[in-house]
This record gives sequence, C-alpha cells and structure tokens, in this order.
Amino acid sequence: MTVSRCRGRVVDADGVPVARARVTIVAASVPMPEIALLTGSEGDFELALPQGRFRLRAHGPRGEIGEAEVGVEDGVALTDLVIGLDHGTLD
Amino acid sequence: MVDLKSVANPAFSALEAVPAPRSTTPGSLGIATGEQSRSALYLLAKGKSGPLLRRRTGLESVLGQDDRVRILDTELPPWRMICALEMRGPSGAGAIGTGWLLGPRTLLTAGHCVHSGRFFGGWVREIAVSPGRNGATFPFDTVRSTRFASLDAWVGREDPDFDIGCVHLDQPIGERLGWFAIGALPPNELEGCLVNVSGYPIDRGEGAEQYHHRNRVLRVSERRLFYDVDTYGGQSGAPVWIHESSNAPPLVVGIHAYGTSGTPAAFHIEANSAPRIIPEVLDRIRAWVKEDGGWPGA
Repeated sequence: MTVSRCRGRVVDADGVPVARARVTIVAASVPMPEIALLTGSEGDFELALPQGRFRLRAHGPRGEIGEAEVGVEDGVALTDLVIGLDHGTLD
Repeated sequence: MVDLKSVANPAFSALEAVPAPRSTTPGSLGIATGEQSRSALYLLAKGKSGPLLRRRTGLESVLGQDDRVRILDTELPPWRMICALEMRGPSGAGAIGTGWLLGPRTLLTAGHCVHSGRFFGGWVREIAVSPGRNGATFPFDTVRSTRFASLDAWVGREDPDFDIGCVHLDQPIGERLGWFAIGALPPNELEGCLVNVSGYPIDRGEGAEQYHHRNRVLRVSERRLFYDVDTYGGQSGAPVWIHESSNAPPLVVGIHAYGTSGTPAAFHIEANSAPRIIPEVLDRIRAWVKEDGGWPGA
C-alpha cells in the first residue's frame, strides 16, 4: 500500500505555533491506531497516511481543541496542513 | 496456524537528548502494600454479562456518552502495572501511548508504539516508561528503554491483527510493581466477557492521567477482540483484561490498538478493538520474557 507524507502544524488562536500539542486521528476510512503524536518546538508534526479520509484532532496544553479533515490520494504529499486551536471543547 | 517470528530493533548508538486450548502465563501483584485499591473494588468488571445498553452517537472511539473514570490510586495494583509511554522517533518526533508489565523486566504495548512506518518511519529510538503516572505525580521512577521487539507480521506489513510490541527493560521493576498474567483463550470463553481497559488518553489529562472503562465484548474474531469500551488516542497498547470470577486475578486477553475505524463495516457494530492473544502470539511473548530472564520460578 502506498502512503503519502503529511506535514502539519498546530497553532493557537493567534497563529502562534504550539509545542507539545497532542495530535490524534479520531475518525478514518481505514483502520488507524490510537496513538497520539506530540508536536515539535515549531508546532510541527509529520505522519504517513494511506489513501483515505481522516479527521485529525489536536489538543493544546490548556484544553484547547482544533480539528482538520484530510483527504489523501495515493502518493500526493500534504505539506501545509494547519490545525488551529480554539477554546472550549467539542460536543 | 500462523508462523510468527520475532523481529528486534537494531541497536542504536548512544541517544541524543532524546481457537485452541487455553494457555496462560503467571501473574503477580508485586510487593504487598497492605492496602486494596478502592478504584479496583468499585470499578473492575468481572465475569460475563448480557448486552449492556448505552447511548451511542458518532463514529469515534468514545462510543456515545463518555463513561471513562479517572484512576487516582495508581500507586496500587493493578493500576501501577499500567504505564504511560512517551516514545521518541529517529527524527526526534514524540508520541504518547500506553504499556503494561507482563514480567519483571518486560512490558507489552501496541506494535505501532515500537515500530511504525506511518508515525516514526520505522523503529522508535527510545521509550520513557512511567508506571502508574498520575498527572504531575510519578509514584515510581520513570525508566527508559532502547530495546524493542515486535512480530514480523506487524513490522513487515503492519497487519492490525498482529499490532503487538515488546519493550525490554534493564530494571526489574515488575518485582515490586507486579505484572499481568496473559491468556490465549478460545473464542467461546471470551464471548460475553466483561473487559477492562485502562490507559493514558490525550483528551483527558493530556496523556498523563490514567482512565478506565469497562464493558462487554461485542464480537470475537479469529485474531481480534471487539468491545464497547470508551478509548481515545494515547491508549494504544493498553491492556484489555478480564476477571473470570469475582475473586479471579486479572488476565490480559488483548492489547488495545484501534478505535472504530478498525472495526469491519460488515460486523454492523460500533466497537473499538484489540489484537487477541492467540497461542502463536503467546509463544512469541513467552520468548520475549525469557530473553529478559523469565518469570521467577517458571
């Protein structure tokens, strides 16, 4: 199965990168493990995804939450995914 | 029969900053504390049950109403045998998961917590293991490991049925903390069982607090176990355990790894899932423990 590299960043409401935010895949059209990624010092994270649709959710250090929907086609890299954290929680 | 081989990670230089007869292994509650966990007394599910009805919404791994409960007495068994994991990949990228002791010097987790093309580009470099972590409180020392193993069916083709990983420890922390027994049980013994899952989700407590939920096994397939238990990212590698009777010790029968996306649509159920401990897997696990010196008296 071919996979596509997905590079992204987590930023706060002011667009500032958030280090050590936690990112996980909460819904997917293919089986995805329940691991959580930690963002780097620039709010950056990277993973490889197979073809399919994915909902990524980021959790900030003060309980902020942000989401992004991603559609992946074979071999097409995603390099500019940005997840913005908002205050409050999802229902 | 499945022919499974163990695959060990290559040694890295110094790190930078960063259906068959039932078969079981021995368990231990570690050094007695003189105190019984009140959480265990009130929360642990035991035996079998008829269908438990719950309000369901959405397709995520918290299946409807969130019924997870935070464990506060994590310094007591069985909770102290469950560890918060922080993995560090070759690039320095970090990740959070859960693991649990199955021997004095051996910890089990999900395969993707030790090797993943998707998340680490291969083997992780190092894992920090924090037994019974309770938020900012670490009731026991955090230990680090750079020695891991998984199954060829996971490392070679990332088959979710074999998403199982081993962390070899230098320190015999299980002698004090105890370790879970594990069992390869036939499907008829698992059907209808109440299972317990406890680990370190990131949506509550940022992956630093232990949460437990219990509910019924919904389906048993040849190599997987599907259950109506709330979980979330960060709980990969958590033990899925049963108590066969009210006085029986914990017995791990699966290793939590997948949310609802891992459940085949043809099953028509909303469930999270774990690779089952099947006899072939148990043979590999025994070999991993033996590499670490084995179980006392075994």
